[in-house]
Amino acid sequence: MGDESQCQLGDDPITSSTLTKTYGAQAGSIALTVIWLPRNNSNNNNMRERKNILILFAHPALQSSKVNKVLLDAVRNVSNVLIHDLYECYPDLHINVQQEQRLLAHHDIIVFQHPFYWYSSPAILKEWQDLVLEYGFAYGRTGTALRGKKLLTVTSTGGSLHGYSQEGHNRHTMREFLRPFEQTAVLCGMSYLPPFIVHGSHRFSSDEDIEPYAQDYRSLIEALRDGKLDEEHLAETDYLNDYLTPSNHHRGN
Amino acid sequence: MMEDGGLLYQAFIYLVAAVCSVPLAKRLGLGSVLGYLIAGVLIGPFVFQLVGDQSDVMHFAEFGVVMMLFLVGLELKPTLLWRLRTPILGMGGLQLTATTVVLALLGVVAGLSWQSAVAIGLILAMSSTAIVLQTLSEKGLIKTQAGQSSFSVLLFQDIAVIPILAALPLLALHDPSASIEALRQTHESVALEGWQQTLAIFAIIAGIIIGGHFLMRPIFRFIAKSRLREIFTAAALVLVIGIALAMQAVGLSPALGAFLAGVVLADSEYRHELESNIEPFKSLLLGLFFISVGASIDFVLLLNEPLLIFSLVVTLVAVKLITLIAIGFLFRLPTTDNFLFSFALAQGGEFAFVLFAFATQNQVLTSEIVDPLILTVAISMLITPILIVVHDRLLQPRLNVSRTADTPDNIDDINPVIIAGFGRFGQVVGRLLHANGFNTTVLDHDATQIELLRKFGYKVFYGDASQTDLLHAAGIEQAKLLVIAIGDPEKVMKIADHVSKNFPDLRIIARARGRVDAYELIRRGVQLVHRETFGAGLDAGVEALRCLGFRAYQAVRAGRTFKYHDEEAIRELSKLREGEAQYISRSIQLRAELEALLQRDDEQFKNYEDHAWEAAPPRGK
Repeated sequence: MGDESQCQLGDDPITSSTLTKTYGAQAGSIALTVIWLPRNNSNNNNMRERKNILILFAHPALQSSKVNKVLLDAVRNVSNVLIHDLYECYPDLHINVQQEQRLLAHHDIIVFQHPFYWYSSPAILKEWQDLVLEYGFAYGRTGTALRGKKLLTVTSTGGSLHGYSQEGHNRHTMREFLRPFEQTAVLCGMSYLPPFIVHGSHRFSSDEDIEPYAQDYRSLIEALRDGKLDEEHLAETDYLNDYLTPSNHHRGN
Repeated sequence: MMEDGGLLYQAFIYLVAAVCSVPLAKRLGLGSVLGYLIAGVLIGPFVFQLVGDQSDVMHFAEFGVVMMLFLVGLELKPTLLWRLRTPILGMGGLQLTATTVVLALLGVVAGLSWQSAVAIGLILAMSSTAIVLQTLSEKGLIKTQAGQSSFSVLLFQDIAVIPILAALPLLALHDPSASIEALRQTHESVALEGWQQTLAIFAIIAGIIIGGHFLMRPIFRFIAKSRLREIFTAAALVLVIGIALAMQAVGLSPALGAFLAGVVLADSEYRHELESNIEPFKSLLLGLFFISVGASIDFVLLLNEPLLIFSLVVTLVAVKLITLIAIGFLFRLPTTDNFLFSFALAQGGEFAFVLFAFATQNQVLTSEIVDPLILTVAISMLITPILIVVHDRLLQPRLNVSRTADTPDNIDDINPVIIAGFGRFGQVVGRLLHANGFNTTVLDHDATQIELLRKFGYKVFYGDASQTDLLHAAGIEQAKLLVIAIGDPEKVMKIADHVSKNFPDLRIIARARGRVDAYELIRRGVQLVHRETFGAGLDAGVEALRCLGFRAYQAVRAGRTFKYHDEEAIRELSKLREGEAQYISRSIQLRAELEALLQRDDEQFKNYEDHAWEAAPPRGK
């Protein structure tokens, strides 16, 4: 019987109670946390304006991560934010579709946070999309569960901003590489926010280098939660990073 | 010649005769029944004179018929029996009436009194359950339409014996009071008034049905728990013999009672076990019965009156044959089935011997009439297998219809998967298959287990799966997959050997206790081998890694790497012998390989940084 820490869903106040259930997974009994969600408006009265944010975190080896670990820690204890560590919950990629859909239904802003692997996300996030975004749930005539919600990509990459440009060795911008995610959001009736991207991660030598990004990430998440971001301004923004500081100094040169 | 050499001598003679002639007859395509009959003729008083008077032996051996009907009952679920009600009552009733009428008319024409003629008609209308069912089931034809029709008629005849026994004394030639006296004698064993007897009959039948339904299961469970195979066999025999005695006590046919008990137990989980326990007794007793029929043929009479006997046999067979063909036609049997049905039933039956003796006792018939008729019946039984051979070889090809033995009309649904052993291992397999909509036939020898599983709707049968007859009863011929989930390695090996030899196409998944058993199984050609504790141990190992701080995904991958490598190693090491130098050196080598493999996996995780895949960024950009 695994303890809850093995599948940490964060100390979110809105997940009022959690229940641990053992699943006989392919290669071990993996503890899955089944979340019993409160009804949408029941205990939100005192924080009326706040949105619920779900961070779907995908990193196959967090233990050797530099950037994502720091980023994740920055948003760990933010209220109304639930961190869902996919590789930790589903180490055999056996995703519990119902639980995931319940989680989605309960949150207003969905964040895909992951390192940028081979111009995309790590495998589990693709598996998650393939299974969870079902016809009749996420798309199709009756698939309206995600309508009006927002999707945000938060990712880190070794390459510089220049590397991800027409002239760079990757020959395309990050926004171009992220099109599949963007279109996925659109098809599900969600709006796709400008991505939050950390470039040049291989040049960081210590956590201090990452700290400014981490603080930005936290304040942006809080602002999103409190609905303080201006929609029009957002629409003009290429990277979410620029919303706070329009200068490019954060973009790892 | 030795008149009476004691039981062992007698048994020896009968068995030698059977062992010599039956395989020979089968080899010649004549069927075992003819083999037994010929064996009987050979050891009988008119050829080698090895055995004497047959009436005692025959009486004893008739019990084989009782057992056979018990087994037939076991194969027939009540629902199926209900579906057969029309052929049983319709075909059976018509056969008995029509044959009796025709034979009786012939008797009157031949100058007999009408009473004698009717008695003879009734007695000769019977066919031989033993010969017909044995022959048909040997050919795998029981489940064809011909087989079912034959069975229906025979069942009706068995039931009809009871009223016939009651009615025969009324046909007595002399004064009526004697016949009433005789009637009373019939029931002397009970010495009850009419209404009491009726009550007793109903009580017995109700007892069989209710007892079979509610009592037998706990009793068999209790006995099965003792895990003594011979006690289970003894219990099965007690059941059959007990019912036979009870039925006799109220003047009913023991065969009918046994049949009823069989039907009641057809739904029971002990069915297969009962079948495989009773089967050898039944076969031997029936064989004995056939031998005694052969030995009782009175060749002196035959030699003295060849013409009379010959014409009697021809008349009997012809009348029965024609009547049966007409009935088959009336009930719209397909032509091929009709011929088989008619040829199969065109003989006198074993009940004739009993009834003739009874009729003589009651002065319905005289022995001058009865003796040639008994001989006629015996000869007609002797020629039945010959008639069927004629039918198969000469008639059937002309009808130009190939008879397929594998008719879809199976009494039982055959499941594609058999799980042998439903303990801690087999249950996991079975539950997973069940949950995914696959039906399984489960064999287990733990009675408590079975009871529990039945509550959850599993189809579980009691028995030792390493007994190959149980595997056959469970339908291994039709199965697609066999899961050997028994804990005892010896039994696992035994089943694996038997199955891979006889059913090379059947897939086997086998449980191995450990490495050594796994080697054994792989060497025996079983491809899918699973060590019983390996999976759980591996899971625990993965959990341990997580407790030691591994991320879940890394722990799971490490477990997988270990598992695949270990399974590969087992496969490879199974080619070597344990303890040999080569084996030891190769194991050491493989262990080193695993270490390297795990090391590499570990490195991979360390390098799994955020930008791992683009680790070497172009300089200056």
